[in-house]
Amino acid sequence: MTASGREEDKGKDKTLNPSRRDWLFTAGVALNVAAGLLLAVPLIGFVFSSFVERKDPRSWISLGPLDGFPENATRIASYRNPFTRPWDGQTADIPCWVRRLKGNQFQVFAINCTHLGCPVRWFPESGLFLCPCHGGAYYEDGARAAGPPPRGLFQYDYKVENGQLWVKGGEMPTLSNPV
Amino acid sequence: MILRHSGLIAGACILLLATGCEPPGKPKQQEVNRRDIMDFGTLYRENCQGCHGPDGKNGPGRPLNDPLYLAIVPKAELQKVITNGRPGTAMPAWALSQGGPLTDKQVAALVDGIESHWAKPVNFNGAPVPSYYASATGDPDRGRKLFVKDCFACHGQGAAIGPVTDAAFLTLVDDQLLRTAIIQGRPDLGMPDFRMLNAGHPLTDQDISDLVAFLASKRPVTPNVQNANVNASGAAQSDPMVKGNEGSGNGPGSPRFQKNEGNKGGSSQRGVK
Amino acid sequence: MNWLRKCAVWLDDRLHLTALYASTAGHEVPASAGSWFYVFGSATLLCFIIQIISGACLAFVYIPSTNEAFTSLQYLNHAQFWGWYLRAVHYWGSNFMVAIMTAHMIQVFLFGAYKYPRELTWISGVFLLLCTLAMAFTGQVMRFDQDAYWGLTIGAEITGRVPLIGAQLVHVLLAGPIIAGETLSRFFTLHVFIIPGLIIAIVSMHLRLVLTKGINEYPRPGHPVHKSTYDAEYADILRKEGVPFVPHAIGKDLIFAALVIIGILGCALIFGPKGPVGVPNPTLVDTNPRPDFYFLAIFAAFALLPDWMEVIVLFAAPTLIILFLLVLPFISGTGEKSARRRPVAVLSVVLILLVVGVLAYMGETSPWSPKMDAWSSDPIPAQFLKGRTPLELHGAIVFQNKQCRNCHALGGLGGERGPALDSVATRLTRPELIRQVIQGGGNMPAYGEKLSPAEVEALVSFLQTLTPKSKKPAVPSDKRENKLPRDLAVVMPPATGTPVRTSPAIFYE
Repeated sequence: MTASGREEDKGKDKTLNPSRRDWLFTAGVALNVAAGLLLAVPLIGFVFSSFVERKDPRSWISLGPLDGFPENATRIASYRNPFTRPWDGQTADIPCWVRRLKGNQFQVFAINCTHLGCPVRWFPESGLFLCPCHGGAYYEDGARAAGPPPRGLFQYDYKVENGQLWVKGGEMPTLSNPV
Repeated sequence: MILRHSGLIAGACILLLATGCEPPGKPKQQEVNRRDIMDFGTLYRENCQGCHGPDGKNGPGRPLNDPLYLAIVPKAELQKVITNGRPGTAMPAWALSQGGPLTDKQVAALVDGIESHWAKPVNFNGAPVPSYYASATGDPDRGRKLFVKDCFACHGQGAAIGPVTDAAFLTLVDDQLLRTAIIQGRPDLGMPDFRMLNAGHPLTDQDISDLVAFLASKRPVTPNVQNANVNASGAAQSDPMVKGNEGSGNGPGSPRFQKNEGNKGGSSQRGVK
Repeated sequence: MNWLRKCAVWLDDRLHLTALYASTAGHEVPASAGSWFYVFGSATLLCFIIQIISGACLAFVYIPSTNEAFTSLQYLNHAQFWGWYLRAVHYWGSNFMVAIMTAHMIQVFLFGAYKYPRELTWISGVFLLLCTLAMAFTGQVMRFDQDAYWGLTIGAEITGRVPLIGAQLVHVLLAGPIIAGETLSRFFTLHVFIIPGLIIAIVSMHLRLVLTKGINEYPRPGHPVHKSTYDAEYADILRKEGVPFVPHAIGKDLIFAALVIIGILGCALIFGPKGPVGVPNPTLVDTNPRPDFYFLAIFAAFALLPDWMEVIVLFAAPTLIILFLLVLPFISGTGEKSARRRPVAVLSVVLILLVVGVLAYMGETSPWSPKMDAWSSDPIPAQFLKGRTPLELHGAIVFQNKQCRNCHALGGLGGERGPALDSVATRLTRPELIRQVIQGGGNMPAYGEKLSPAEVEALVSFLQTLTPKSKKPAVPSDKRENKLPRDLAVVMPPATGTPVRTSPAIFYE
């Protein structure tokens, strides 16, 4: 609205008084605050849904038949993450280290170093997991051996069912949320 | 001045690009996935030369760049050993299926590469070629006599090269390794092969078996098990079902020195003052 | 000609271009501000513009999905006409931007330009610094290769250490429980929309403040800032020696700008784009993640800090540093501007640059990381093998086989996490070697459970040969200062099993 337009309005509508203008302004601001909140709530909820939705993303996943894991050996296995999108590609294939002790006794370690999450590598000859980032080392049972890691390797819950090894996975393990 | 110069540089760059001259920064061919590497040189360098030496010799492990060795070792044996390793010795398994890093194709490429790069016809000068595998059972007593005659000069206690009758050494090697070592020698480090070991005539298949039998008879009964771990304290190994174990650096099964008690054998006894 | 002139006048009447020019480009600055030291700010802005243009072009082709990103980067590198070059320009543009921005910040600090009345200019600059670093991190994720995947993992793990809400923040960061799905879209949005938008907004404010509060005059020693008199002094300077920014103070900026562009283009041409290295497939675990150079110093700090300091340094240090930068113009808003009269300021800049530089160098070389393939790829120098006994040779095999080499170098090859062992026998006696191997300690794992007695024997025999000819082997511990724990006997009790070495007599009768 141009300045001259407003002048005209003023001249025409003499019933308008300052208190009414104030009221209109206040009401306008209040309405916009309300509308803004209506917009903000879903926006914030959308972006920060993890604070609202507290459902457990983990579920039981098969790592394959037991014969894939010889006794007294540690092998790499991978599973398709249960929380998956069609456009995930290979990033949803999550590796883990499976140590079979005896019979149905397993230890399934997350690939992530507990220090900063880099992928630990297994060296069967020396029985160590070594991390390429800051030199963390773990013994074959996952206990911390040397370096900066604050704890032993993260371990998945596992079960043996129908001749297959199942782990409960679906989330990147972090210190505040160990598998 | 500067304006003219920058114009020149820009012009040169554009000319460079336009003439199709490859700028040094242009990315070369796409990199190859580690598991698609089939080049023998690369595979050998990355996986083998730590023990078998650069170019197949002068490493602590068996020299593979040796026509004599390649003449007697069956190709299938190479394939099998690379794939599965040699349990009980330091040779690890390399195949993915056995927890190693190489695909079956890469193992095959290694075997082919070893054969094609380093195998040459060997002139045995009429010497009977011993077989890679032992065919006859050896006679330790005869082996002892041969040993004193042929090996003692270098491998007796206190001799220049050092004993092979050392219990620790014999624990770490198996009969096949001894047999191959006697046949092949260490051409890179100066140990003669089976043709030269025995003054007079080459060692026969039977001689070699006898020597191995003698050495085997000196091997202590203790198998080469990883210490302790293991059998003595196996029961104490960690139970993964026990929760809360994961956090501590001292979870069950982590090496704790008390566990080594009684398992260290003679080697540590020498350490105690 | 006449109608062209009419057109110009009409446009100027509608858009008020002359007035705009007079109040911006033509505004008066102190003649002393036309200095070579004053060129970094405009050059940073120039880099940002180059980033926007090259980035927009790359976005024509790039696909921000975890499944396609790597392929589209490969396409840019190898198939798209001049795609590699634009990637290189964008990469080198970011390097130049971070470097020049750092130079700008140091210059502003050393010249006291953050002092009264330019506090807000400095504060907005601090936010621009944060935005630029955020661009660098998110940009590194855009190059979605193995480094990006694991760099993102590191970011998530650091976030996961936040007390109380760490787990939820990780979900916010990754847009889900793992790196997949919407993760890359989230970082794309940040990198392409949100952070650049913020930068544009803050840069506008930054420039507006330059106009309203003027460019800092070249500081002279002995002319401290006083709040009561400074404004009048500055007006005086402008009146005496003020020149319009365009055309009388912009010359050096222009020349430096051209050099920067040529520098970026030249680096792009010669060194090319970075990566992408390695398919971002987490199951390929033989990878060696390293961040881009801006974060190498932080990466190094994580390796070098003691455990208990990590959380402090992770969260407290950045918060404190940012807070310090934000309040700096208020705690030292007046006084001397010239670096010649501010030794503490100069020293702290030198110190910070040294620390960051050394850390970044260490991050690049990463001596603390085991060299993962050293055991199978680094040969043992021949001089350590010639004339050795079979047992010692086998010890060398054990040395390789047990991955000792991954942390210990021989002949300059191998890992650097542990000490090089070329002359270890001059430092440690046999019992000390045995103890160290079995019990570990000093950041070395204990190998007691992974070595058989025979292997220990072989390994130690080999290690005992590692003596340069000129030097003597180590003296037994009881003959010198007591460096060894006294409880050696507890570690290695008397043997009860088969003796490893028996008398030679039984072999030869």
